[in-house]
Amino acid sequence: MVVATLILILSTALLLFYLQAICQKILRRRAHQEFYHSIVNANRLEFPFVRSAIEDYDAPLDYSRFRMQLKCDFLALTYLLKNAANSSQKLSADEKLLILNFRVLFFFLGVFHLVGIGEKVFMLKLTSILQYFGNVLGERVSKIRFGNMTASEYLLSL
Amino acid sequence: MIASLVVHGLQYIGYVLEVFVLVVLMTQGRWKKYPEFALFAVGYASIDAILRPFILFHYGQTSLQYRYCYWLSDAALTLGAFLLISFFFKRACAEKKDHWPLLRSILSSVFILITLISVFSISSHYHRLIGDFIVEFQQNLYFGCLVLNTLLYVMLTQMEKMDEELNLLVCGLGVQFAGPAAMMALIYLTGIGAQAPAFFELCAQACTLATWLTWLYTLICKRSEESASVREREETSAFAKVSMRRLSEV
Repeated sequence: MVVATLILILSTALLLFYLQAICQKILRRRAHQEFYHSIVNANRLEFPFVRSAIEDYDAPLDYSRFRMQLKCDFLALTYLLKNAANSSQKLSADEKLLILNFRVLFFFLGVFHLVGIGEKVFMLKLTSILQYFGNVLGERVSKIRFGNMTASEYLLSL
Repeated sequence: MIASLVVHGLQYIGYVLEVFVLVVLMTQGRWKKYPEFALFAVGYASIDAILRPFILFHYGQTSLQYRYCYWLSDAALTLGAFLLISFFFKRACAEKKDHWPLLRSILSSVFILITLISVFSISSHYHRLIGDFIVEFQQNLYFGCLVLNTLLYVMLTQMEKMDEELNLLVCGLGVQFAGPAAMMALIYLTGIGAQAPAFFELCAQACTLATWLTWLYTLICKRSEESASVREREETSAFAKVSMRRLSEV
């Protein structure tokens, strides 16, 4: 009985750990890219400010505001991923996995907020997923040209 | 009814993924880099997509033959996975070759011990295999492999030059072990009863799907990244050659 309980707890924890590790490895593929800036500027996304507020300034966490900002960015980016410069209007498998990962982390953010620990870690993980989406979108958009300008240049010139 | 449809859907998607992984392994020459993984994938796919459906078709899902075939092949596959992890350990020791002899003797003794225990306990319970015994047995076997896999994962993350591909393959194996181990422990503790087989099948199929998706992603996406960087390097070197030629002309 004790052994089975121990196996249940450890295996569940390790299952979540491995799923999270797979998502992190997918995210790392685009971590070095800087395509997301044009998308952030054009769509007035706020996740970079959330990240810098947490990382650089170590400011006290305005939980409800940051949560709302991340959620709005997520909705905007997933809509754009599906519809902007995407002729198939379908998400790829890794994008779907990361969307699922975002939702799970977002749920746990709420749970951990109630307990009062680890909110910053969850918020940073959420921003890294949003940055990945921004990079995918930015790279995709930068390949399309409008006359003499790339799409990102066009968006920045607005 | 809906649960059965979902299970069958996941099962067929799983077969398609298994075929895709094998095709990628064979056609792109990936089996040369990971021969042990290719062998395991072929064995897994043949059991999961050929042997089990064949027995299922002939004897039916509730038959004793199918249940015996399922659990015995499951035990064999878990032992095969143990062997695969041991080979991955060898790869992980490529940087520190002096660690391998000790590790090899430990891993081979543990493997022989586990195989002997498995054969002995299965043969002694052979006539009343289906039930609590096999659930507990497989739960322990899966958990043992999970612990070994986690040790390998930790070892890989400590390496100076991380092998991302191997890391992802190991993560996939981790999902394959962790899900069923947790689920069998839950079934053993709560004894879900009539719902247990359906619940087990649903979770097992979901974990298998996640594992094969991870492996397919590893083989396809990493390959495309590599070929992109090779293409970039070729373009750069071609540009450099042209520039040098023009400079020499000037």
